[in-house]
Amino acid sequence: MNKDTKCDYALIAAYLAGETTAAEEAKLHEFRNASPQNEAEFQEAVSLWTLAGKAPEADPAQAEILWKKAGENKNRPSFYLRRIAAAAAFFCLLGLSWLAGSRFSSSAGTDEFTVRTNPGQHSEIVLPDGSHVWLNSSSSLSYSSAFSGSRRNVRLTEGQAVFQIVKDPANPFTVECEDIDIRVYGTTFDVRTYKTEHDVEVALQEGSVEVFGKDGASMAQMVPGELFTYDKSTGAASVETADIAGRGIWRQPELKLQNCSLAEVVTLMEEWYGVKINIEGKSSSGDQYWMTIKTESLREMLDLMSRITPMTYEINGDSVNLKLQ
Amino acid sequence: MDREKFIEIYKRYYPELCLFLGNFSADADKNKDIVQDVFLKLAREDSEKIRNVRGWLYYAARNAMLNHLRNEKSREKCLLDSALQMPVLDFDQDSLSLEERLEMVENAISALPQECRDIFVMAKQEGMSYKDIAAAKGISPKTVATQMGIALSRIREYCRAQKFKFFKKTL
Repeated sequence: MNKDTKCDYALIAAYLAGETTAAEEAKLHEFRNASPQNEAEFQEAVSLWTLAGKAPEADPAQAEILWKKAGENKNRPSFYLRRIAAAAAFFCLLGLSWLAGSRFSSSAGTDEFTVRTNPGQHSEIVLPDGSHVWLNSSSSLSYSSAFSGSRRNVRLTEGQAVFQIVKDPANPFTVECEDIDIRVYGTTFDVRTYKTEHDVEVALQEGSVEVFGKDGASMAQMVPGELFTYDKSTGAASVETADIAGRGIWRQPELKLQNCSLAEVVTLMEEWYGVKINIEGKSSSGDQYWMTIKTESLREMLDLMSRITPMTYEINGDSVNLKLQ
Repeated sequence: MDREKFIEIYKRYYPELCLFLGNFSADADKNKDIVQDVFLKLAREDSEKIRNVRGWLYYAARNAMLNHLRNEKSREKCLLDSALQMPVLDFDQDSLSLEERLEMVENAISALPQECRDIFVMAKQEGMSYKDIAAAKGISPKTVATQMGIALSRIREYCRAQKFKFFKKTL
């Protein structure tokens, strides 16, 4: 149905001018994902928008100045002094951040980029090497400005993400989490490491990944279809073949529930919204659900469901309590 | 990388990088500063490690811009999320030169109906918000949005027609 959606230039223009609401952005996202033609239309509009700006001319004299400036730094004899200055700056910052009671996460000289999603939001990131990362609700991903084709490191400090990594066996890609590291050789997989949850999970869809402990010891070499689970309190790790088809469904434009039981709906909604849902009481009704979730919020969905199956709910951060009546 | 090569790269990519950053922020001077920093970084970089200079420049510029936007308190902050999803354009795949395309789009803008052109220039080149444009013009923000849509779609039609002519000429 989306294939025939007409290209809405007012929407694209508003997006490029930074005038869109979240709902409109979701609409545009849907349009872009509906077909390659749509995406091409969008890209063309972006390119025209870009060209509609004023391009300044390059002044070669400026280039000369830059080149000289860089050269001065490159060959500066006081390498030692610089090191000392950098170290001093580092300790100074460390002291400051200690005073502020927060942890200092970026080393001197390189910047760190962090992408965060709010509860119920998703985000897609394209890394400099062309790899894609989809961030689920309440998640945070960081990478250094030094990220490059030969230095591929990111940190998933919180939450859940699907990684689609560009294959480059010579330069493995590493995902660092608080409890484990994952080394990747070009693949698609899903990592879930919410602070509120006991386990860290890695689900592999394609390719191969290797999971390492923080001590650097290999814990598992995974093949597609496997789910790795790490218990944060005991440190126990296990790998099992699991049904991981539902993994990463949250990065699709919509979630279709067709003839699903309440239990199935809850499992899928956990994935979609990145929350844990506990059910109290027993479902006696045997209600079957038919619905499609697009941009509805968790609260809207729970309201809707409580009209089908009598229940009350409570949302506490990343967890939801359902009480069946 | 030697001096000549660096200057050549600078001349070639400086204009398009400034344009590219124009997608994120209308502050042209700030954009130029950022591009300047990116080139300084390139000059200091061990260039042997960079496989694709143009790609490297775009990502460095984009990242520097994101960092800048993060620290900004202005409305540009709202652009941050969009900016993260902005595709990096491939100007090189086009058969027209950057200058030719700039001229083409400039002509397309001149060919817009006056009201429509005014609004487009205010939004794109002067970086005004829809609300401010609406206030300045005494129209509703909704009308601004509609006019912007018309402008973008007309620019596209104009350029398509021009390109078609160009291809016929070269055949």
